[in-house]
Amino acid sequence: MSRLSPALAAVIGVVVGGLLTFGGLQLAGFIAAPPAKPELLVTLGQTLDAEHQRVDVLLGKGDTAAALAALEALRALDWPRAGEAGDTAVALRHDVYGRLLRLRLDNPGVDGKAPAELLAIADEGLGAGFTPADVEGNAFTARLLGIRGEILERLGRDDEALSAYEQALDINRALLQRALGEGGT
Amino acid sequence: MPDTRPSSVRPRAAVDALENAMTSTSTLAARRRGGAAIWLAAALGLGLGALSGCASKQAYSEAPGAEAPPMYDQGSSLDELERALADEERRLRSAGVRLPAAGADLAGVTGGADAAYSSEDAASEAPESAPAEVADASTEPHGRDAAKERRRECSDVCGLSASICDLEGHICGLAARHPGEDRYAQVCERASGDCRAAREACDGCS
Repeated sequence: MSRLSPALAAVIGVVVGGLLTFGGLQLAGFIAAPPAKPELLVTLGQTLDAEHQRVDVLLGKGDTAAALAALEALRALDWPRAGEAGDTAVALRHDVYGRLLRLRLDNPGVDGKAPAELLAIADEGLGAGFTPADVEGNAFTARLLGIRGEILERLGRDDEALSAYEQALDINRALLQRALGEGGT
Repeated sequence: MPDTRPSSVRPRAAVDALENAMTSTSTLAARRRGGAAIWLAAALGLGLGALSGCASKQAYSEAPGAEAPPMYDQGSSLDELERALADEERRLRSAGVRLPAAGADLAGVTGGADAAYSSEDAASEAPESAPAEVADASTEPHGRDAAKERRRECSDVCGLSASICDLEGHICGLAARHPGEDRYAQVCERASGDCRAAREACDGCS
């Protein structure tokens, strides 16, 4: 069996070592894995930014029904999964659903929906089988979980409401810890 | 002072964070063109780097201040929830947040079941909390940047503080409707402590 030349062995060693280094750092959380389709996230973000501004304008004009309709329309989007566009895409979805539900809870007289329907919307926004560990902690997810707790309270499901509030509290606590850690406050 | 802001606005600090994420994402395509160079640079670390990375992960996850994902879901038992809460409180303390000892009284608890949870409103409060000395620091260019950064940090802290206290209001509102149920009382007590500590962090942010 012929032996590898020293130069080729060195090249293979460097490449394999590099792969292991990169993988190790990524595993350690020092290198964030980029989304598979970053352009999808950028497009989604720009679309939602425009829609949120439209909702701002509609609310500024006092047209809550139109604002609700605009946010409802966003539910029909083909939302990318975290594997495609990263956790930020999930946070963007939670932002839209949180804003929609907050608006509905604050304006029950406009296109009113029963609490059970609102809970279904919250669960749709969070995603099937959602757990807080599924997405990096962010204020939008915390808000949606807190709103889910409010809805569960209205349904008389207090134990579940308490769990939802705790989930939201846990995320906010972690975010606060991070903020204090960064700022040295 | 009553909060008269509309509740339909979005959490500003979180929006800022998202915008930062979006900005960095938009550069990813360009970064990928330099992927070969990155890989080459990474290669220089050889295999020992992988070991150090893995070792760092272990140390990072065990550090008192390290952030860990919530260790529960909707089906978690009370014991699991309490363990997770205790872990978070330990991390908060290690991060410099003064939390009251377990069993502290609930005096000073604000909010209630009627308090609307709206973190977007909370996030907007921060600029009002920015102390005067921050503005004083803006007399020089680098001081202006530092002051701006400090305002952003205080905005984050105060927004989160308000969100935590909103949740505390809901949790303790529930507890009031469930007298004699330990779980509700204990979670309320801890949430109250978190709220007080977060509020102190906001008040002390300068």
